[in-house]
Amino acid sequence: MNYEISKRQAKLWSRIGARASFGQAILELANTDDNMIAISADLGRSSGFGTLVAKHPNKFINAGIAEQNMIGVSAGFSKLGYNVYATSFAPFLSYRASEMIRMNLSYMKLPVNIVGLASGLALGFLGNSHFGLEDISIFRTFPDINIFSPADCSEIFKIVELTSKLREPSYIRLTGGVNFPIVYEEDYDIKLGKFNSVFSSGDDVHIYATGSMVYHCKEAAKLLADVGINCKVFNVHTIRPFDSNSFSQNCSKSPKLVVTAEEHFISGGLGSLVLEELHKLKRLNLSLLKIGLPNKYLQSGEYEFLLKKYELDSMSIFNSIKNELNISV
Amino acid sequence: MNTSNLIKKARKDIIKFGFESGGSSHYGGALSMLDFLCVLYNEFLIQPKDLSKTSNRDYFILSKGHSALGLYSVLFNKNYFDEDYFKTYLQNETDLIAHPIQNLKKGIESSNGSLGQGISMSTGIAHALLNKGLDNKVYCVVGDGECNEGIVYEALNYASHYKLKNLCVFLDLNGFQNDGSSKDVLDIGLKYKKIFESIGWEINFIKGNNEDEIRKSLSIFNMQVNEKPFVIIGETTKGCGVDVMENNNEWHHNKISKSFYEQIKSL
Repeated sequence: MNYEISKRQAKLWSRIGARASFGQAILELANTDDNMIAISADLGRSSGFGTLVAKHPNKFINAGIAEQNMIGVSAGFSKLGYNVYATSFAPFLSYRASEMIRMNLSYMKLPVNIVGLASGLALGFLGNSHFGLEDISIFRTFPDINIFSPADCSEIFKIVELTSKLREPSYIRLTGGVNFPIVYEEDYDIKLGKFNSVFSSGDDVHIYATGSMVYHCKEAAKLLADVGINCKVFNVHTIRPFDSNSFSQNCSKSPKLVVTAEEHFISGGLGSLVLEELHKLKRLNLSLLKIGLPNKYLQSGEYEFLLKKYELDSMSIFNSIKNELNISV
Repeated sequence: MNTSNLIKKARKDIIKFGFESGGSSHYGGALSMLDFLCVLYNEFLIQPKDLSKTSNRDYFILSKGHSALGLYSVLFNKNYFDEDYFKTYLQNETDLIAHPIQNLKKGIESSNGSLGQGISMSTGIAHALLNKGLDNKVYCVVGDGECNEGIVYEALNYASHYKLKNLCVFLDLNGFQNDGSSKDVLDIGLKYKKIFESIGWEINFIKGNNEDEIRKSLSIFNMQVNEKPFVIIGETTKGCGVDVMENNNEWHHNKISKSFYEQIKSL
């Protein structure tokens, strides 16, 4: 792949958003990887594949509105050595085609990359049928599938590059809309199953954020530092394999509060995973604040409005953490 | 071994290894598709015994995965694995269970058991072979009960749209499924011929337990020049070749007793 992460480039990608950036990343991959093939269930345009289809028509397959069969087709291509990226909206993969993913990617370990487009609340007015609220939870229970959740558009390029070399069964969860806020303005190293620290002012609070929440937690941490609460923010770009070693080391610093943040139901996702890790480490004495979506079907609206309504924006996260500390300190 | 003898031997081994395992097996469906499998493996399928050696080869997928014992018996008789390995069938911690588990070194292409998924993967393999410019074939056995599953029709549409001329499906039309006669469970009036035809498949309707007719169909598939996926709709007898089991759905999934085994082992 040939791409460069710079301030200028990050701005451009941020403007076009997560899905168009993903399409650009796949185009870059197609330019260099003969074995790469992109498959979609009638969501090629929504995957940002316009230029890919024009430039490399033989590297795109439309499976039609048939997500279940798309997974079987992807599995078949992977058996012939293809590096497959299969896309659809997150719920149509994780719920509708769930069992096909279980058999092909998990049970048979076929190295297919599946890409959940516009997960979380990104599809605003399309509503709960299209929201990705349970996808982390579902794939976390399927053995042997990596779960990636890029923090911004630059990281989408990083993760496409990483998965193209990895050749393992993987789920890439895209959150964020257009004008996806920037976390990374310059090149950095990304490793499978290794957190990246994106902010550090001290060890009062450790925040583990994934996908769209990384930027908002970083901003919240700046506000917290201003009122004398010192935080570290970790970007959990790989939810599985989870970075248990770093997590354990962090816990040994005994933060006053551990926070998780995700654009996903509060149950079953990153927060639940961290709770399980605390249990494993016998550190349930640490306070844990799980920030996420309430376990019920949600209202529709503009994406930014929904983030505020469900208290996932920077200011709400700042307030939630501040309140939690007042109670627990 | 010629194909007629292979069919007899493989049928005997289904009963023998099924009985000796001490467990219950899906005898009816294993026996109904056995003639097809024997003709295919003995005369048409081109692949090394160790499938992991190359991906440029023919493929066989048992979409109706519960008929695994039939596949194991053919693989054993075609020397994909030995008797000691076959004897692990249904023993604790074996890989030879009621549904195939992908094991390329033993000739098993994919893990199945969840109905409808095998034909779906078959379309992907067939498409990938065509994309690579390889002229290998993909064979897949689908059950008529299995055709209750929606994903089957997604796969049929896909194969037709992408003109997967290298894909051959054998539809094992034995007329029964778990709960009984397919007519009673979900009757579509046996319109499979019309369904496949209208979706754009090339059809061969045969007596699916007749070795000669199977051979003729597979030859037609291997010589066909049009751009369509190919289905052999085989009218079969569930439990074919074992009198008591024929068209008796008690033998969809059942255990052979010692006294019963003494009666039928001389087949």
